[in-house]
Amino acid sequence: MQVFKSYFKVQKKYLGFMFMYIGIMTGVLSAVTANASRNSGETYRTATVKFAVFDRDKSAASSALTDYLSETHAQKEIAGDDKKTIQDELYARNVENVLLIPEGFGEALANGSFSSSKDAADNPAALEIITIPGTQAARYFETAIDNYLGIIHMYLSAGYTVEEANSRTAEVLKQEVDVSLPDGGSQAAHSNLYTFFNYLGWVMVALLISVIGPVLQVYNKKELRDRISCSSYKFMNMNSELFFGVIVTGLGITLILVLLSVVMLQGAVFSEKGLYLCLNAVCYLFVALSLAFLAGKLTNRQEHLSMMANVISLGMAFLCGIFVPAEYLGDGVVKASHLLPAYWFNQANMNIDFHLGTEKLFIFICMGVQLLFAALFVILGLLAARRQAVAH
Amino acid sequence: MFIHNMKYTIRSLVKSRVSLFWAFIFPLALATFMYLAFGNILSVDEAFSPIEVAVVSGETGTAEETSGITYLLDALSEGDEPILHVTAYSEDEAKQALNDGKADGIVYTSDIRLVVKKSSINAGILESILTQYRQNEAVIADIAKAHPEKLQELVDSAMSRPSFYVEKASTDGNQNPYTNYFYAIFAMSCLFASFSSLDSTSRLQANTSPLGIRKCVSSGHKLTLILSDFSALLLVHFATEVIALGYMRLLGIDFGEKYGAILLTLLLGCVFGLAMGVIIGAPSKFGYPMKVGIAISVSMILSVLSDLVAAGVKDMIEHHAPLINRINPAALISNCFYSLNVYDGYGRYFENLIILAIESAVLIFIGYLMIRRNKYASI
Repeated sequence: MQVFKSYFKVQKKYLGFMFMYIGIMTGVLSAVTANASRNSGETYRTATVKFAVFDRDKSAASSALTDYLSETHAQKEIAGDDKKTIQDELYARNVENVLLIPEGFGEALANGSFSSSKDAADNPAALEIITIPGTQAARYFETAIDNYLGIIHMYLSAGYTVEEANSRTAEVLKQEVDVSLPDGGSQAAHSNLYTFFNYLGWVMVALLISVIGPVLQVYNKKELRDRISCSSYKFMNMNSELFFGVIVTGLGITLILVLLSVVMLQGAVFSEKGLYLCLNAVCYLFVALSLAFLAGKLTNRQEHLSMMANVISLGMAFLCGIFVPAEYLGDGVVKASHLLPAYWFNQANMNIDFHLGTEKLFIFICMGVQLLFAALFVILGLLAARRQAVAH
Repeated sequence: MFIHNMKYTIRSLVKSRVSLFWAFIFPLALATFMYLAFGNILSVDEAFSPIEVAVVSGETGTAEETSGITYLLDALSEGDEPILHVTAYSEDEAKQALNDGKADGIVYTSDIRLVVKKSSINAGILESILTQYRQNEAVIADIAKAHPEKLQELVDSAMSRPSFYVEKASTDGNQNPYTNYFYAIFAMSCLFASFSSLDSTSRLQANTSPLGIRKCVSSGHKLTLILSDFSALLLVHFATEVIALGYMRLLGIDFGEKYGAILLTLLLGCVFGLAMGVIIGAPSKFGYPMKVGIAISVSMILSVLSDLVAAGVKDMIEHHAPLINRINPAALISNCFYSLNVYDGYGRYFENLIILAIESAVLIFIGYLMIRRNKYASI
């Protein structure tokens, strides 16, 4: 076990570097998990859109409309109704609709003097909705306005006064329909446990290549390789001891990350879901370690490792559903990502979070595929090492 | 001398894989990943498309064509811009369709109720439609009870409902907030130009590199050496930015059509990045790895503040500490792109560009003071 011992002697020299990386990554993990949705999704809640109102009419009708909209949607204040402010706020999605109520709106509603034109010039008293056309938020907001004013319009057409129409409308608006989630409820959003463990798909690859790669590179140095080659130590013995050392380091780092999850998620990890997520993280640990092993064998320069760590970890995180939910990815991207281990890691996490009761077999298949990827990367690393030895 | 030095600076930069990777390959790779990840997100997340509705109409499992609600659902699924796409199912089939994501909601027409998989805008629209139906029924019943003679007028008014609103777009430009990530990539790659200039600055000074010793004893004027190095680096980095712009345009990312102004932004962005590198590279106290570490940290922090890794950071700063956005070079570069793409005029664009130009000039001046006329007691 000489190589195994020497591995830790070298590792010791990189401890400061390693803890710096662990510190940075745990900081990022904490920020991401703290920001994650806390929506348990066990009951249905009517969705709302964000809007701002500028009421230039100041009539009873415009106030009633504003009140109705603020009860059913989320009213926000924005700095002003100038074009640039509205453009900025819409672009940042601080509001999704800006409603301008023109002077004369209340009078036109009472007189029924709106036209059917969608052109502001032909319909001067019509409300102006500044939005991003073609979006769900625009359609939803417009449906709400149409619904409310349609009811008032019906009462006014039937000869009611504006006051009567407003009060009757307020009564009618109390009518609701029963909306529910499927039997037994439905989880609408991922749990924080999922968010934390899923981000490990990025963190572990970036972290382990960056902290283990430099240690392995020491063994690639020509003088050291020459010395080991002329010893009685077999090629496979040396590499298996190195890989064993790598595994111990990886398990140590994973333990730190799991302890972090215990602290951050207040013990939520001590559950069946948490256990499966930990098991999946250990499978992915082998992928990350094997990638670190391969990267360490492929290059002798530390700056190259940094390049590999960033491109591999960010690439897989973007393409395999870690940074962007898998349902938002294009079909082509999803098909291509089947060839990457992070896809199977993410699939296992998603099914553990949503369908642990019914999809256990698929979850284990996903874990198995990750281990196969890890074996492939180790074989490639050994081939690279053998090639270096033969070339020498 | 100027051309000779410039030529060799370009040659050495092109051969420096590390600098080229961070300033050229990494931004392109990041842009590609982001494009593949975000390419579909706006259409899935925000764009409206007809809502898939599974209709369950009682024990027979077929739609009751005579009922009012079925008529309404059918009417809303017809026309040029249908709101719904309605399919009749048996109850079990409908549940399966909801579970498989083939339906956004199940409408039970017998008792007008809705089952959805999760709270969402589409679920809200479906709920609004059914609620509207219920409320219209209530209005008609209410009026029929009090004023039965007005029923015909009521039906006429419902059939000829006027338009209560007009919809306007806030801009003709790109409204996709995910484009901010790509603006931030340009900001990052401009700042990453600092790696090259800090390397170059180290190679100009006798107390930081052997090449600096050789350059210091050459007959060339120091200002000529500095200017030729700076010009060469600017040329290479500007070229990489132009290639990156072309690449992202080929990917289909919409930066608008004001390319002259975009190129000017990239040029000034590179000038700033290079000037920043000179300042970081000049002090002899720090070793090269430390200088690279400082350059990466400064560039990344400034880029993260301009939305590189999470959308909304720049906007949050704009609302709470706008001064940071006025001086952060990455935010200035990103805002130049944004102004060109969203606003009609050039006012806000030039505001950002002028601040960037002033900051660059100040950094260049400080950098020049730091590296000119250095005397060495012993090297």
